[in-house]
Amino acid sequence: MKLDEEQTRTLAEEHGIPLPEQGLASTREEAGDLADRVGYPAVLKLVSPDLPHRTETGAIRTGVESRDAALETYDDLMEVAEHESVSVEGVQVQEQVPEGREVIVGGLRDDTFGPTVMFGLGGIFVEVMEDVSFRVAPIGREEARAMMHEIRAYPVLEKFRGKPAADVDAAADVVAAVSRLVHENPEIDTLDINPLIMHERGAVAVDVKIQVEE
Amino acid sequence: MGRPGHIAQSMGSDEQRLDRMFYPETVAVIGASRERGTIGNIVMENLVSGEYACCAYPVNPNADEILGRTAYNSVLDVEGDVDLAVIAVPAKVVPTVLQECAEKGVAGAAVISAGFGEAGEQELSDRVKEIAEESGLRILGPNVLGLINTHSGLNASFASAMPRRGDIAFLTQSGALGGALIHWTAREGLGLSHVVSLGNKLDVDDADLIRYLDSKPEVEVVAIYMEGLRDGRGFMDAARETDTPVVAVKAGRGEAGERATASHTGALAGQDRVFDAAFHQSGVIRAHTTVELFDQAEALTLQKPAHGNRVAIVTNGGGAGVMAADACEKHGLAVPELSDALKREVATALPGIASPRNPVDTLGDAGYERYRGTIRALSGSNEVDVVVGIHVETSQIDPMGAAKAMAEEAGKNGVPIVSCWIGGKGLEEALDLMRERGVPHYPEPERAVSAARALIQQGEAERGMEVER
Repeated sequence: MKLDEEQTRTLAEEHGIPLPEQGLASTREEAGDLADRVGYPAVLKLVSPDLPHRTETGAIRTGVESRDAALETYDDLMEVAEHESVSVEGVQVQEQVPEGREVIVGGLRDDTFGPTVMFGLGGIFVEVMEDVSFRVAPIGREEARAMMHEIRAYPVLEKFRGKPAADVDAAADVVAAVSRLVHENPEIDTLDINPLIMHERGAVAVDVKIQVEE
Repeated sequence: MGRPGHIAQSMGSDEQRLDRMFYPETVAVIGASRERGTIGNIVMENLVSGEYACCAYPVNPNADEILGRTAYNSVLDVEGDVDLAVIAVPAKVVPTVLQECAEKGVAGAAVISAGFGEAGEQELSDRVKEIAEESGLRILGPNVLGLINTHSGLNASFASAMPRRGDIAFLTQSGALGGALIHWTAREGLGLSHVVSLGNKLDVDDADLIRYLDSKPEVEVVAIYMEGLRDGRGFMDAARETDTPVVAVKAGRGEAGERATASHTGALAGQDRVFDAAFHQSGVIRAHTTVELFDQAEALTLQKPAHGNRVAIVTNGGGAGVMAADACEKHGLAVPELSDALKREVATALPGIASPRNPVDTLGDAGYERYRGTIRALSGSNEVDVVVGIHVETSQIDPMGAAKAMAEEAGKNGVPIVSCWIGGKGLEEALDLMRERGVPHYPEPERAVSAARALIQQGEAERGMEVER
């Protein structure tokens, strides 16, 4: 069972996981107000318990540059919901986080060891290469750093192709925070921060999904 | 890890019960048999032909006498106390027998009988677990080979041989593998202190034994073959708390959990790699084959843990050195470039080599002086944490020179040595010296590097645990 947006956000905030400025709009007007508040460009996402792969169904719209654009996008997303025949929790209006290194931080309940935390570079590094590392939760920042270093693709996080190094400490703090979160909430089946966007300073968990046992 | 109904019992009491199992005064074999070749007969035979000729009592209502001893109808009929019961009766009858053992005040029962959880008989399995919880009787298994303690001369198993006596305690989830490895370790000249077949682990498990064996001076290392753990965190706790090195093979890749594919994390669940993490976090060294398990265990009994991960390779055969360096790299061990000062010092021991590298090639005809000078410079340098000494048999020099040098220098300056000897009969005397002087020796470079790795990991584990404490 997927935990709803509000509970997810509360849990994440409680553990100090940095989230983008955002709000959940239940009406068109609200969407406009929230977009004004979080600032432009903004990202609008259709929030539905029935829709896991949002990018594939056009349920995430980035680069929304104005209030008018926000209102239009809201309408578009409602159409998508109808087209996909899914129930709607609302439309999440989020500040558009600047580009950075995308990584995945996960939590899961392992059959033998219970709450466990996972780290990997985003996209094909996790999905195809399974280039991930694990630790039994809870862990501190040092162990989080150590597990990040175990990734074969770790050099991508350092100074790479002209880009400055990403803030490994900030990401390690998120890994450690996720480990504490799953350790304190053993009813969680899985937790996915995908992506956590790492910048030169700081990191932001752009999308957080939590599944709990029924 | 409270067991319901026994919260008041302290660790001391657990230890006492396990002591009665491993150093029993009296053993009952329930399901003993007159028929040669049956398990009930072999167990009895093993006990009486060892140190337990006096005090092993057969229990079998269908016989009057087994191996010259009066057979009892029930363990309750045996005079005096019974410390250990070995049970080889059909699964259906086991719960009743266990109840009788509990009533009798037996400390522990090794249930050789199979046909429980592993055969889908969940109810029978639950019943056994209940008895352990309610009565305080320690139960090994079911579905075990038995238990062996070479220091008390106890062979309470149906393995056909006793291991050589030594200081490696071997715990195994596979009875058949355990039995075979008794023969193998004996042939390899490896000594074991204990062999404990854990079977289904309904009660006594790896964590219990790690704790119990921690205080035993005759045990230097615990070596484990496991396929799964019922209580992963309990295992980690026991491994963290013990001072005795633990090396384990974990077999069985594990099945990916059936989680919603929407979760990338969930899709990677059930990974064998979580065991890597758990072992790393609790200071357990992971071996990947049974040979490696004992290579590493033996090294840990002979040499002290290393203070870091920098390996120096000294070899009279270039190729073997290259392979050793490759193995180091593959496993994340450092093979550092030597400093200029160290190069100069090493060069004084090696004629004609102006700038020695690491691996250090002493050339084929290297004897005592070259090996000793090189190893001494390396271990005294503060640039090296472990030395891998390699000697390949040649027609030009007696291997005893290399052997004497390694034997002398091993462990100096806190730098352990592991050795690799490639050759044939000509190496026998040298290998004898290695054995005599406690220098681990292997027939190929990869195995020597694996042993070095164990010493490095144990050092890291000990330093890590210190930090935590």
